[in-house]
Amino acid sequence: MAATIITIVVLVALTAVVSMAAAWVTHRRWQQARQETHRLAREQQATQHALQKFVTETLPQIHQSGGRIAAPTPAPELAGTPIGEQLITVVKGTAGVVQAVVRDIQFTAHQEIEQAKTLGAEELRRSHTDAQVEIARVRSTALRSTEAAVRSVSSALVGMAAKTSRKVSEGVRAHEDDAAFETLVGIDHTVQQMLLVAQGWTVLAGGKLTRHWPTTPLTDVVRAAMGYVEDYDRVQPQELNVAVKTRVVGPVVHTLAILLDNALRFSPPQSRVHVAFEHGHHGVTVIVDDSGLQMTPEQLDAGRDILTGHRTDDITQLGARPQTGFRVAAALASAYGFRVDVQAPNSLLGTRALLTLPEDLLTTVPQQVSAPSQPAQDAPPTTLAPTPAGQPSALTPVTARPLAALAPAPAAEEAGQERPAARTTTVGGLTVRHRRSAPTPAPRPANAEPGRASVIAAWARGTERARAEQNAQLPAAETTQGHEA
Amino acid sequence: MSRPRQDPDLVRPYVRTGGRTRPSKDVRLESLVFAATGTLPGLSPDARRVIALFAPAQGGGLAVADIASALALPPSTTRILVADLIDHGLMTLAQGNNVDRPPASLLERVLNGLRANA
Repeated sequence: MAATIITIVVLVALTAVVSMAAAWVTHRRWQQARQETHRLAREQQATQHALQKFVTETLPQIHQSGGRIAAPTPAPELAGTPIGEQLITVVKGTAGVVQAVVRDIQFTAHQEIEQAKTLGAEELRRSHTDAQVEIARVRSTALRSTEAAVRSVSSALVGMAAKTSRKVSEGVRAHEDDAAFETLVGIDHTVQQMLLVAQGWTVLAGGKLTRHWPTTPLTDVVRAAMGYVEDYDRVQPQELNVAVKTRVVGPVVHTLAILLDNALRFSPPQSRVHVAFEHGHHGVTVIVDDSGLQMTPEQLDAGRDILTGHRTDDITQLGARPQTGFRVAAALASAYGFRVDVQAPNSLLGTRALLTLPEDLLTTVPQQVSAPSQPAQDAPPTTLAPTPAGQPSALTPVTARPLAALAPAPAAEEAGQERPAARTTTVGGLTVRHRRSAPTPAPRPANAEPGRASVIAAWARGTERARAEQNAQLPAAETTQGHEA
Repeated sequence: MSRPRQDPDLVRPYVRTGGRTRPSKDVRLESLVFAATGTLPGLSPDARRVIALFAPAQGGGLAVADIASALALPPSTTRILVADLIDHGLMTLAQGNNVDRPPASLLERVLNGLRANA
């Protein structure tokens, strides 16, 4: 029994021990579970906190910085936990996405800006080109209308001045008294200077010289040029019996007048201007020397640039005080094939101007040595077209021609051109008179000849004139002019 | 521009006379002048042309009007040129040309005769 009791006691004891152990284990597990719960609760709180921070701070930060933020440090509670890791990953990922989006946007924006720039540049270029085209168009229109305006004014002036000049030429032939001559010549000198100016502007405005002259020896070309300038009596001309072809007489005379005018203007009023000729291999050079202020090297260069055509200003570029002389000379020279140059100093320490006429603009002097400058009184046909053989004209080279005495010369002027070949008594039909007081009263047979046609014509002209003048005066033929031969 | 009649004077009269408008002597259109032989250096081209007219005249005289007509020069220009030549001693004026002037009536008749012939 004892044994049983002992066994029972032992069994009870064992049970108690086991229970105790079980209770301890249970307690311990409970405690562990409680701790775990606490930890989890803390973790959850930290997570909540971290999420809130992510939403309220990190995301706006990412938003503001365009994804560029430092890697966030997790809350200490989450350090090393998967949630902490993932939160960091989320932050990094979000930042990356935002960065990518920003880059994308930036790239697109950049492209658009570039495109806009290109378009803008193109637009600018196009408007620039358009503007240039428009400017060129306006300029050419302005040039054309300026030229047309200047040309119309100057041509009209040339026309009127040329007509006046012609009237003066007729006038000095119609009136022979000195006072009329003086007045007409005074008018004429001004008219010729006006012609020089007006013709110059016509040339500058792209026009041509409209007056045409017959072939003329250089001697008279120089004297013609002198007629255009103010102080012509200061010019000391040489002579040369080489003629300038009809086509270039006007241009050469005009150009020479410009050179003479320059030389006279820029030299002292009492000094002379010398005109000389150099007949070389290639043609004739007309040399105009003054003893005035020599042109400076800069002026010479500028002058040469204009004269050689290196510098061509159109009529709208001449400025407020246009210097037209050299420009006109250059335009005429290039249009008609001669050359103009200036040099300084010359032997007089002044300036030298040179006008070089190539051989193809020159010809032999028509008719006799020191031929009349107006070889053809009724010149238009002779200057415009080659005359038929047999008709004496300025253009016909010196060849065998009918003698004046034999030719049925109705016009005294024409007879005047003829070589004085008649061996008898006349020069182109002039009646030679002899002194009445001559010791031999017997007239030479020549004297007995009746007057030639020219004389009759002259006489008739004289009487007509006298009659016209008489009409208002006396019926009787008591006039001083015309009637007496 | 339609081409008008030609201006006969490319060289203007004042250039020919050197700006003078009156002859230095009383030379008239109807005056008869005689040329001396020979020439002077420095004569103007026009003066030489006037002298040259006398070459075939064999010592005879020419009326100033005829000279003007032959050279197609204006009368006043010619008178000035001739007066210059007289001053240079290269030409002489016929004496008494005023005294010997035929009466106007005679000239009138001569003229009428000439007209009848023409």
